[in-house]
Amino acid sequence: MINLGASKYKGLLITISFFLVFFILVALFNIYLGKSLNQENERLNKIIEVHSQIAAAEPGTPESFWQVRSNELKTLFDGGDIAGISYTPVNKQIDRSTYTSIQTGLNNLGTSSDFYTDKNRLNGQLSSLENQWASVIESKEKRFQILQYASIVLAILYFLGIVFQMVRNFDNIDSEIEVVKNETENILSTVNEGLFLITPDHEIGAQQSQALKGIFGMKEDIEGNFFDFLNKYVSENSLEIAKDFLGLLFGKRVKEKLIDDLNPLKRVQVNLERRDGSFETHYISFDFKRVLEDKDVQYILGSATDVTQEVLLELELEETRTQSEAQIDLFLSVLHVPPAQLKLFVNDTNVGLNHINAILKDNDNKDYKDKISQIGRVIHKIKGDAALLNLHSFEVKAHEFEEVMAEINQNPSLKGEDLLPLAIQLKNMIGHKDSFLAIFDKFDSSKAELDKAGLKVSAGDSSGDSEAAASPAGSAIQQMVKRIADEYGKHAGVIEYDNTQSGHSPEDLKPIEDSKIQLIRNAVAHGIERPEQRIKSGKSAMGTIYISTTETNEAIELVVKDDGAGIDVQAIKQKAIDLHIITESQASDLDDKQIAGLIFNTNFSTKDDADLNAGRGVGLNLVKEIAKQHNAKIGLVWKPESYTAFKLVFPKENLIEANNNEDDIS
Amino acid sequence: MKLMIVDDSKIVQNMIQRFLTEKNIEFAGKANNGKEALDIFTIVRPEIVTMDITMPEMDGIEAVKRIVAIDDSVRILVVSALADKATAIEALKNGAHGFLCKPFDERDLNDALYELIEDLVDE
Repeated sequence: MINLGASKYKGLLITISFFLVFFILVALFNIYLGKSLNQENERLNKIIEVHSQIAAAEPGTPESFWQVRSNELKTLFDGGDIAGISYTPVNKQIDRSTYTSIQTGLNNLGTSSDFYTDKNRLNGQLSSLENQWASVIESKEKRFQILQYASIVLAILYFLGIVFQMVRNFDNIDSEIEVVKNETENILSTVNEGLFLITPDHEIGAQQSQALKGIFGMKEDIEGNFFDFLNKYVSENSLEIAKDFLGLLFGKRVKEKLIDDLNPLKRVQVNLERRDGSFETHYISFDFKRVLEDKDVQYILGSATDVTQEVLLELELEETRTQSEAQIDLFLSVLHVPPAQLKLFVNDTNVGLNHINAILKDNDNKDYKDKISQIGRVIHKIKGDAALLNLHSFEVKAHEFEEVMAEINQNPSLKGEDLLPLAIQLKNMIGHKDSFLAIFDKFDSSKAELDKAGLKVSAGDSSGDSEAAASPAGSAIQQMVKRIADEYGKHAGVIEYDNTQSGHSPEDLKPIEDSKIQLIRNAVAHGIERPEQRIKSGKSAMGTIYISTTETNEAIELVVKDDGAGIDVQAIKQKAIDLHIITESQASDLDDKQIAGLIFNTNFSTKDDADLNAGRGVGLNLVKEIAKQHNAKIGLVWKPESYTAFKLVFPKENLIEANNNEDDIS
Repeated sequence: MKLMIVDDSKIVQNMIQRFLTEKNIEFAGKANNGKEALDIFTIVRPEIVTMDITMPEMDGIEAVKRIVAIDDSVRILVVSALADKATAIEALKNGAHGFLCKPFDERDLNDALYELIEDLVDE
């Protein structure tokens, strides 16, 4: 069935139908006219026949003969049949006068006296009737001809009209097509994606968007077999999958939306030549859609988009993520490994990496397999060391190095450039080591800051004092300690423990606070050594002062302990003698504890102490006084090179009582 | 429409069963491998099948082939990890209709199932 659905053809169809109808009508009309003409000719012939019969008649012809002739004439004019031929009545407008007189003549001829004269007259009349009739026919014929010509001209005009209409139609269609083509061209030349059609034979259609060739760095439109074109950019495996994939799309069975994940051409690497001759890597993504017509797949619409930016961003994000993970890894590593060991590891690794660099750079050694095995040994050691210290990120990087080496080593014969990937791996490891060092250094300096602020944070070293609950004057104490430490050019931090009830008034606790301060001062001044000396002794540069204030039912105990040098009994003995506090002989009688006790003596303060605390009893002396006032017991223990600890036990009853007394003294 | 789940992981079987909310589909049976799938298929005669193509003991492709041979009108959704594109495409060439990649969530599953049968469903 020819599809004449388009309405633009409907008009044409109607016109042609009218033409056909017109044609048929004209034809019918012609046939009718022809028939009618024919009849008139027959009538004329009959008249001539009658005429010749009458002309041949002799006198004495029977009456019936004239009757018959008359009837025949009558039939010829009024209609009827003669010898099987029907005649229609003559047109009313025709002049019948001749006919009438002929009829009269005929009627009289039978009884005519002058037969021949009457017959001649009749002949004449009949002749003139014939002429009359001939001219009737002639004019009819003329009209007929005119009608024929007219209908031909009309037909031609009509035909021209149809042609004109058709031409106009086509013209309209043409300009419509032109407009559509223009719009399509505009779209195709502007759109960013490379659009193209793939035929079922896998040919690339001629109509494509302008962008397509640019995406692939070509100057001419892309043509030919789509897979031949792809072959330049993808692996054989991917090409096979692509063929299968497009095959599925050309079929009708598989659901288009459900196979998009299997598109193997979502990221095709294309190397475009730049103007300066160098190459730039681009990533192109292909999308495919079925083009359906009547539920049949006519084409596949291909769309190529340059997704280089997205891909690079993704790669960058991936890189950043891996880096962040590595950094966290590093950071955690730094936290759990003792600093000394870390430093050692970094040093060894540095040496190793430099060694690898030297091996790679050595142009004299062409034995590349040997180079690889040398490098392998170094990496293996680094990997092992890293594993020991649980430095996971180093382990992973070393492992990666090993894998790259293993892959290169599979090649039976090596050339210099085969080892290029190793240079990259080396660069990676050095970078990692540097990041590691950077974090480590940062951490170390932060640690120093933290230490100074009184928070002891050190790797693998847990001090027994876990509950560093800040007392109300906590940070003040820390600041004070820092100040005092600075004064004496030392590093000291403080850890405090305080469980006294909150019910006490500041006045009640003042003696304890005062003692605390003096003991701290003493600890910094005399207990804790200078940083250099501490390091020499294998201690950390920063000393720590532990302060604990403990409340029991009866008393409040204050302990101030430093991790300093302890009490140098000999030095005290000597000093006491020098200061004439005791004599030599007296000194020899005293035991260590008693000698140590001398530090509480009024005169035992050093010059510095006096300067700083002028006007009051100084340092430990003051402490002794306070203790005496409040009936507190003083305890002192020490271990040379390790610690010194003071303990004061203040009976609670005296604290409240003593308050009243203290006002008198101060 | 009846759904049959073919997967060697009970976890995935249960997951699909739980996730199923597409109103035109109801769960009708499950199988642990391709061989079982055929047996259960002939009994249950589902209109839709989800097929894991990484199963042992008659791989999914074989199962797809045989099911399509019995009844070509069955809609088959291949379920698999994305790493194995070639196998998935092979299954599609042998008569499956679509692909759903693991891991998937509730919405992914129901969208895919709807896509699978959208031309059969009046909406």
